[in-house]
Amino acid sequence: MTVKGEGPVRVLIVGGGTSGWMTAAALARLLPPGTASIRLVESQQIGTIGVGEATVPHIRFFNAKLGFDEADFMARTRATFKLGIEFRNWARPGDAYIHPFGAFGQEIASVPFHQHWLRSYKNGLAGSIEDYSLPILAARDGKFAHPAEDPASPLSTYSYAYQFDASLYAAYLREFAEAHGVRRSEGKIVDVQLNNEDGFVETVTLESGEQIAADLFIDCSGFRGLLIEQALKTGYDEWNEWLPCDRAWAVPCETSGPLQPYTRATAHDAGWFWRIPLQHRVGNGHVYSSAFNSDEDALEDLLAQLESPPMADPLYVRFTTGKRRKQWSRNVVAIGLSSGFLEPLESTSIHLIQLAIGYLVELFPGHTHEPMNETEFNRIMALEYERIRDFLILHYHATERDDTPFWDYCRNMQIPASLTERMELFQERGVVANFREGMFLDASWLAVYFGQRIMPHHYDPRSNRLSQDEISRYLSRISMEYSEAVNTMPEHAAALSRNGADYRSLES
Amino acid sequence: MTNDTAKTTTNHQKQAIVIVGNGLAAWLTATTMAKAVSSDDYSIIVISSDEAGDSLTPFVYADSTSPPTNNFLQAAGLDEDQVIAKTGGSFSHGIALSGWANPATSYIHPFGTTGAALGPVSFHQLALRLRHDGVAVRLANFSLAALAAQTGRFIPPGSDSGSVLATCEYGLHLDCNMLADILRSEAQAVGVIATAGMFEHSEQGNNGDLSAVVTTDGSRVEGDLFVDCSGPEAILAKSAGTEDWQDWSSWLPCNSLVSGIIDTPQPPVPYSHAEAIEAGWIRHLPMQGRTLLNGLYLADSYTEERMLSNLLHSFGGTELQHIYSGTLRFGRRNNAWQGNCIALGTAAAVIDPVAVTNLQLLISGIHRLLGLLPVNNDTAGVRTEYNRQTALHLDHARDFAIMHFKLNGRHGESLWNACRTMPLPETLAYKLRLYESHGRIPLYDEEPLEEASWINLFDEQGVNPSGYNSIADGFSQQDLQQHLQRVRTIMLETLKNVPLHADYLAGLNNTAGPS
Repeated sequence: MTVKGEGPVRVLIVGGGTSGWMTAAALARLLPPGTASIRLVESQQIGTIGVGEATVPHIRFFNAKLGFDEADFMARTRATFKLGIEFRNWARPGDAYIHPFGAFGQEIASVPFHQHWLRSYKNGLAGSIEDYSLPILAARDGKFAHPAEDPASPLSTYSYAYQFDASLYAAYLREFAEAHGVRRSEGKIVDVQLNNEDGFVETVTLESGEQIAADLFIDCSGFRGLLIEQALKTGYDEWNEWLPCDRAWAVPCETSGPLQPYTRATAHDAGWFWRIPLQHRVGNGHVYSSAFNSDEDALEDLLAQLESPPMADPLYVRFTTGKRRKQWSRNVVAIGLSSGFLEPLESTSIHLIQLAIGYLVELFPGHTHEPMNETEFNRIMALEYERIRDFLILHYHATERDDTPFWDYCRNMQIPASLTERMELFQERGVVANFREGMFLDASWLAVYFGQRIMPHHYDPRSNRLSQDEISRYLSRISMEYSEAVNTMPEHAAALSRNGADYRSLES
Repeated sequence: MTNDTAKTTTNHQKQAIVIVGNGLAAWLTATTMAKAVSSDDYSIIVISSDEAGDSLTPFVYADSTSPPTNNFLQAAGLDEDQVIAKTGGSFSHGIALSGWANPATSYIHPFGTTGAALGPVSFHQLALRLRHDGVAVRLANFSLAALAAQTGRFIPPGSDSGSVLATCEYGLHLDCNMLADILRSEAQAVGVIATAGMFEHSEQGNNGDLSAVVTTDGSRVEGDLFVDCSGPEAILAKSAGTEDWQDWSSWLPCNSLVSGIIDTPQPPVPYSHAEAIEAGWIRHLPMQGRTLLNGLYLADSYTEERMLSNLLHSFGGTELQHIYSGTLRFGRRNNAWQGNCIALGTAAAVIDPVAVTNLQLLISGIHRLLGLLPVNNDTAGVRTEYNRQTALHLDHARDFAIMHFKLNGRHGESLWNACRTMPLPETLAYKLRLYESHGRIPLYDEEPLEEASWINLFDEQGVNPSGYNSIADGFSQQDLQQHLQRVRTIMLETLKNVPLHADYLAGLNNTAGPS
């Protein structure tokens, strides 16, 4: 109930980091003046995860809503451009495919491009599907340019995101948030007081003894879920039977070689390594399953494959893949790691934060709790989480690898029925099922299906309405157009310095 | 990296698609399919049935469409303007509903969106905020489609997508028999075969799938895929398997239908009309020169004669040509596609056409099937997906219709009293609860209608949310009123240049020549 005259809604954000400060900055900016008074309490004692982080294109809209200038943001967060993710060794050792930000080709005669491609490829008349993706060609060539607005230009067929230092992003957001009225307090929360009757959170107590009261609490306290779990006992749905990785090591190193405009995920014996190139260094990580690899071996493997010596001590993270049973319970909304965890294989963590913030703003509660807001928020967030989960499982399950017990497990595991149905449909007829919620659209599913060597039995018979010659001509034309367009693009480092990055720090 | 292509088939065995049914459903299916596929891959055969077997039965003679299926004629190789001219059809920007919210009032369900957002806040939320301040806002006053409909104008397609014209969409009012004739010629011109004999019985193969249809002249037509366009009798689907029907009558109460045609020489208005009456409702579907009237009602409350008289009275006409009487059985098959037989149109579902029509559902069924055509008889994956999408689509269409009955404001009439208290399907009940809370609409997968239609329905049929998105409080009342004024002014200015529906139709007739 929006009740004017009762003063602003008191919002307390528990925890900083990317989730806390994204929430603070967005609420401060998007809520009208007087709607809320926002306070954030964080403890310098409690480290935030903030390793080099990769994102998806939606973040540009988030930044734009806050009015961030791209060049300024990129300089402050030492960000590079990202055209997609390269997956190495997933279906088979030696494989390498890119999941790009952009569709493959264009629909012809109301039939999706990839159906025409499938037919031609089988007939020996088409190159790899990657030839028909401008962002993939650009990424492989180490190029980057901002997309063109003109829909007729081949440079309008893709999007892009960033790779940045998440702790610098948090600092950037903090500066913005504090300038927009968010009050920051330093402190560690040691207790939570619930209302006797309805179990709502009334106050939190800091180590200093200070008690802070609020109407709405945003739990950005990370895995421990100080409010959503420790206080409200919401419960957690675990998904590690399908996504068995539960540990990670992270360590930065110096950049060796040219700056790549993409993230890399390299499958290993019992997990995978990430490589996220920033302006000033490379973020590396090893995500693995403790059931199939020891922490010591996993660290050794990570360090062994670094392109240059580590620049800091490795960071160790334990996690359980899954989601909180409810992301919003009573007057607590969990955002970030407190709401759930999916490994960063497809750079989804920041996007989930952004989604939660967006829905929170749309469903922003007044002074009176509206159960329907909570229900709807949970309904949508659950769908988003589950659909990302299914997409990630696909990467593991659709493998031909049998070289380690981990991969045998992944290949043989029972997967959710929702994913089984999607895979069967694709395997039969190359059709990607569409859903309203779910951040990954057709093009993403296609990139991973084909990249993981899933080739449909049949292509769409409607393609046969056109002659193979016609299709082949179209394929050659766009592949050439894309290659030519890529030739006009500058190298990634040059694009960054044109954007205002300090060129000297980019020289390798 | 090379993919293993050995698994991908390029050799398509030629498959025969056998369509059983008469009329628009069978011929629209046949023609659209014939234009979409290669004749090397599929042969298409249409076998008629002698019981009025049309998958638009019982809503025969004419029906309407609503966005977003307006290129279905193009997909069948036809030019929309020419079809309207040749068949004397018309265009529609929405549905006028009288007597639903209240026996004395009317409102419009426009095709398209309403108003314009201001910053991050949707128009509807702005309206809720203003009303909270005591300012009256009628959504339809900010709908270009509603304004066009009410002023007898038609906004032609192809308008500048950047302008306010793009907020207005349209549907068609179509003479199904005439369109079916056009489609039959078109289909046969592209190689679709119409058998001489009619459907006699079907044969099944060892695996339970249909293998052939035997016709009344003794021919045996083999097929790989069978499409049942025979209407509610579903003669093909039933012969293939189980009686597999979900009944919707507890939610959509009308159980009888009479239809008639009235000569209407005046140019048709660009909307249809749904008039609620004591024990049912009457649909007016105006076209050029004639108007179709459907009377949906409870058999216990009126005799057929009384209902026909109601039709005449509702229109103010003098003479009605009675063309149909029959029972109504709203509901759907649990699975539209079973084995190798797909039910389309009213063979798959019969819906109360107060909003989404049976023609609309037929069209969406055809297009869904085209995207999921099986190859070489591999049907498992595509069938599962087809049924998943179809079930959702049909249920959401049904839900939208149900809400008209649930939210009625007709007191003292037993049919309507019962509707107000009827329990709702859970997904629909959830929609209502969420809207009642803060005016928000949850949309599910495969919804036939978008948010604007749901908001309009709830708003016009009396649901007042208890709150609204507090972001709307970020604007001053003055800002908001100026915004609304600006939106309305732009719309009214734009309308000045929009042709009258009558003039647009006359222009088409002049181009097309006499039909």
